[in-house]
Amino acid sequence: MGPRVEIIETRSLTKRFGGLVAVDQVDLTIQESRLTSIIGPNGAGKTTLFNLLSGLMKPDEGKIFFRKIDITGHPSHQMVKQGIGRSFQLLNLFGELTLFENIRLAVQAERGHGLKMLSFIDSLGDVNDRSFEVIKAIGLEGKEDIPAKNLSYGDRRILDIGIALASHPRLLLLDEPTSGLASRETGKMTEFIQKLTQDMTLVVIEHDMSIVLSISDHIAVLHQGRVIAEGTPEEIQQNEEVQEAYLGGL
Amino acid sequence: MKRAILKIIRHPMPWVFLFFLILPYLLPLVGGYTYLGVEVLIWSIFALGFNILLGYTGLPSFGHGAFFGIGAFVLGIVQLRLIQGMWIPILAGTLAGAFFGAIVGLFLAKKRGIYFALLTIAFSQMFWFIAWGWDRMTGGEDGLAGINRLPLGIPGLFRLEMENLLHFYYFVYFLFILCTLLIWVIVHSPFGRTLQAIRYNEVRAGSIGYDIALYKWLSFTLSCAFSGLAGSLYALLRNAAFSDVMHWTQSGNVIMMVLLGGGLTNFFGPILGSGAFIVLRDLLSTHTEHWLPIYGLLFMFVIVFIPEGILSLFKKEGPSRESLVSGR
Repeated sequence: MGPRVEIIETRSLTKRFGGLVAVDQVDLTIQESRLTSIIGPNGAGKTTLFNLLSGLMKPDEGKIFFRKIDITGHPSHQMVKQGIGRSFQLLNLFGELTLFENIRLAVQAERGHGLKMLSFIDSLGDVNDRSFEVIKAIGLEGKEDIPAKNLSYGDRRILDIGIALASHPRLLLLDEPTSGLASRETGKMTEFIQKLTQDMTLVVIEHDMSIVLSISDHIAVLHQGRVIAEGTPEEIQQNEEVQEAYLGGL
Repeated sequence: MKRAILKIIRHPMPWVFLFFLILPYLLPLVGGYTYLGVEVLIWSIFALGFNILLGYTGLPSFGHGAFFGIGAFVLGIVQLRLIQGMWIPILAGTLAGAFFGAIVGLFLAKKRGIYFALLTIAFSQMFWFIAWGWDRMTGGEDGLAGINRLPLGIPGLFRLEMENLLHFYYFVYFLFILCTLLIWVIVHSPFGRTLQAIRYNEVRAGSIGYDIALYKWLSFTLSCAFSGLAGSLYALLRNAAFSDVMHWTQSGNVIMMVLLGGGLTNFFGPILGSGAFIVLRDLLSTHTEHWLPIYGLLFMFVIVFIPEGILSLFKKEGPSRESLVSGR
């Protein structure tokens, strides 16, 4: 592992919903080309943190820096342009559209063709080629014409990540990528995630501790909106506070 | 070559164009008249443009009658006070629709669902009150009379009298073809696909890099341009512009046309809807004074039993899942 370069950094990041402080003064630094896992019990603020990092929500306080640039409060479409991609815990696809169209739309956005009004969709050869590449990379070739909602659950999970990959993220946020998967599919997904680490920085929210411990370079533990511990998998396993709050004597 | 020809004749578009080409000669056979045909064409332009917003982007505007009316009044004002002519007043009416649409669109671009719908109603009522109250400009209650269908042509070559309703029909027919082709290209362009992505999943569309507010605004503005054009033509047809063209019922009519024909699932739905709407109204009202309740019942029947509109009974081709097969 080369010198540590931070890709994203939050300072005192805070998000409140009425009286509830979902994300509370979070200072978190994610190092480039590593896989960081974020763990914590339900309601710890993990998904809200992702929503802040991906621009889906605006923070009430604090700052977000992406590669040293202040991106606090940017809307989601700008976060994607910066290089932050994300998948969703509850699948978030264009269900009525085909698998191909789901990917193609993301590639089209990345290539900046979305505003072309006077040309036909078929004329974007480069977009189509790149879409097939992405579909091949996520191993779903041959299913291009199936509407997303008719794909198997496992394939839909992969597609959800594939859509994010199509926009070439430097930082990819995966929100519970294995949730709801059968054990065989979970193994496939874990392999897939590990393959992704070769090309980009990953931050993964995951509940399955055996997966977390096997794939992570770094772990951050969130509890009631606060980061209560950070460290390598070994350090986290030995941390007493974490044991108490979350691991329950793993 | 043979395949290309087959592809063209299997497409509904040339048949639609052919149908309207001979329509003036068919209408008398069923007790209709040319005026009705022009009305159908004008409302088809209005409804097709409106469907960019409603069917393709999924945004329910209940206020497009305002932009239709703006087109009518601006055509009248320009023709009566500034430039005697046809093309420039029509262009002015179209651009005015787009311009006011663009301004209203700024307030709507970040709204969705019921808030979007309510705001469109509020804006359209505002425009209606202005048209009603601004006597010196719009003629207020009396409206603008004396709008002329002036002759068109190339000096020295040919000249078509537009006061002749059949000539005017073919002039509107020509614009109808241009608009249909243009809207067809727009909804099948990368931009059109993006609008559909927003319709299906706004959050995800934003998360893959589309500026949702920008696309909604463009969709709104575009549809208003077609409303403005249709309104201009309507003022020419009636030789007048009255504030009733801006009334909220006009906004309702265009929605009914799109839904009735099946605009949510078929590109051509708005055309069929406009035709059915106008011809039915005409037939019913000549037979009975109490046509409105029958009309209403018919709509309820369609909404309850064929919620996706008449054309959904046949092939689907439009903002539907079937048309969104892969881009190959």
